[in-house]
Amino acid sequence: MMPAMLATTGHPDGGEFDSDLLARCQAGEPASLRAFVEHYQCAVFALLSRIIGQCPEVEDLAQETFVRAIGALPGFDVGGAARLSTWLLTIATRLALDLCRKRTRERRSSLTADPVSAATPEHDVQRAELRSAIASAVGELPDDQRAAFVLAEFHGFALEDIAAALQTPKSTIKTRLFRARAKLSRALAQHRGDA
Amino acid sequence: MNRNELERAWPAAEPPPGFPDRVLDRMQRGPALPEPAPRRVSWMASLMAHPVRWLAPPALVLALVGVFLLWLTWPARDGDVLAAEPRVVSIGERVVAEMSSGAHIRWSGDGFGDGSGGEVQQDRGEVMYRVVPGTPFRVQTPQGNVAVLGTVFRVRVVDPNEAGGEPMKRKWAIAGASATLGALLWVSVDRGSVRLSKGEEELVLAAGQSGSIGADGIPRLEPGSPTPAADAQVAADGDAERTRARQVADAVRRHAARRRVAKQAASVAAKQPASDQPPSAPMAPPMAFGPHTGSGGSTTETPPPTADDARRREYIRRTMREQYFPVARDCYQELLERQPTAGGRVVLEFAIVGDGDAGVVDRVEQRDDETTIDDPEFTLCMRESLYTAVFEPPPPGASETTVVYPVILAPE
Repeated sequence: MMPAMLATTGHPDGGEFDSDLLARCQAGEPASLRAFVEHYQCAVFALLSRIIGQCPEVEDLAQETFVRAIGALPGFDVGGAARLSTWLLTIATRLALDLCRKRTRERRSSLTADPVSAATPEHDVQRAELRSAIASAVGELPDDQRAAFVLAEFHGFALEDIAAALQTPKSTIKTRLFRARAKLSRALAQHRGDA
Repeated sequence: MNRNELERAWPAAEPPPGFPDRVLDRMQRGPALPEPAPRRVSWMASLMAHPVRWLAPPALVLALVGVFLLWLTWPARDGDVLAAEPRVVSIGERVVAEMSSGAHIRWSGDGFGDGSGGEVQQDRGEVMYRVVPGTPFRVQTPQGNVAVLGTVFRVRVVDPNEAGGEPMKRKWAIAGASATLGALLWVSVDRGSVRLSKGEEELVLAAGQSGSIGADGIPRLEPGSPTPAADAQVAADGDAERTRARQVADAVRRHAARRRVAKQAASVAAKQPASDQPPSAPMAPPMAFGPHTGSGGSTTETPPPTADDARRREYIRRTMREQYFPVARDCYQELLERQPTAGGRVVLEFAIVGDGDAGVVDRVEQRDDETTIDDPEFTLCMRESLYTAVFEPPPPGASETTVVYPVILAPE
């Protein structure tokens, strides 16, 4: 069983956006908006690339996420229950899943394992193989399962936040997380067994 | 694997240089490129200049209504539907398919177009079909065929790879109904009757009955399905009973899937260091357990205690803490959301039966006289969650191990 992982906010440093800056963002001040994008861009790129794979659409969706968020920022309730990072990453998640559904309709998958180059040093090869094992395992996860796993493990979303983001009952989210963790555990165990 | 290791193993894309600039440029570009302003022309002047335009709006409305009606009534002669999410598909005028997520069906031919019936190919997933009585209809699957004459029935096709190639040996019994694990095609009939066949082998299923075809290709009546003599009684019980039977069957399948995943996860977990994740509420150790040597769990004779008992007791306590408590904790959290001060005791009795080199949970029951929390949703959650746990198999010579496990819950 995969041990529980540490929770973080949307920002890699673990901090939320400054409330004064947020107020200025809501007023449309360009410098504050830039700070807003800079503060959350890593989290948004990480989330998107893990859900849809590392592909050119990541930047398009990241732009769309921020454009929509900035457009809706004046209506964001600073004193409300939702954290800014949760709200922003929920927008990104839904855009990513929309793209996944579109891809499903087009019957093509963009998540492919990284190729392993035999020319790299041994530890790089091992790391590439591990990456390949993970990429392969997550690539096989259904999109909703992968999104739930990424939100929980990398962005510290609580169960109810994931349920709200994916518009799915909490019990379903529990099952998705359980299955995703089981699948990744199997992939890692297999990789260790092969190594 | 901790989060840092996982991040190293599963790297994410970094924002490219200049990304914030591009976002802000895009924000500024929007308002900076206004739509060209329309020419201000009086609508009356426009209509007077072109009298035929008077007819354009009503003609457009009529045309749209006509297209819509045509779309509604046009028979679906051919189709290929992969359900990304649950959806309902009309197949011609006489068949409706309620598809579960992941199901895939295809159909073609004139039968659906003229309403005389036809054939659907279902290669995976679960679909409930509603067929107008008198319509010849057939579902072809890789594992066998289902032919009907007007009925409501459900077909579930399992990918042999997904099923893991396990032979049909183990049976589940939950709430009085059962289903065979390892079945590759599973059919449940709500109304009417169907003929389940593969090659020369066939089986007729009546309302209320379920059947399956496993790896051996032989259609079998599912255990627990009413016999023809009992079928009349089932029919007399009405829709409520059929609905209950379907819910039970659904629960069986959910449990089967959950247990399969849990078993795989546990086999991996057994090779890894044990998690030390603590429960959020105090929980008591097992009060009693004992291996039973009777078949089918009906014998309750307990052998005298052995030196291995203490080790097994501790093992079960540890396994419950590692596998069951994290899931049960969520049940309790949900209960606390409904009843913030809820607390008390739930006493569960369950059997561990052998399944290859693992022991899986069977027959979870709640001891009502010793359980003090009266919330059906919560106790159901507690019982169902127990099916995710996987233990070591019963000791040699014992067919199962029964465990009585009291769980004490109190708000933190």
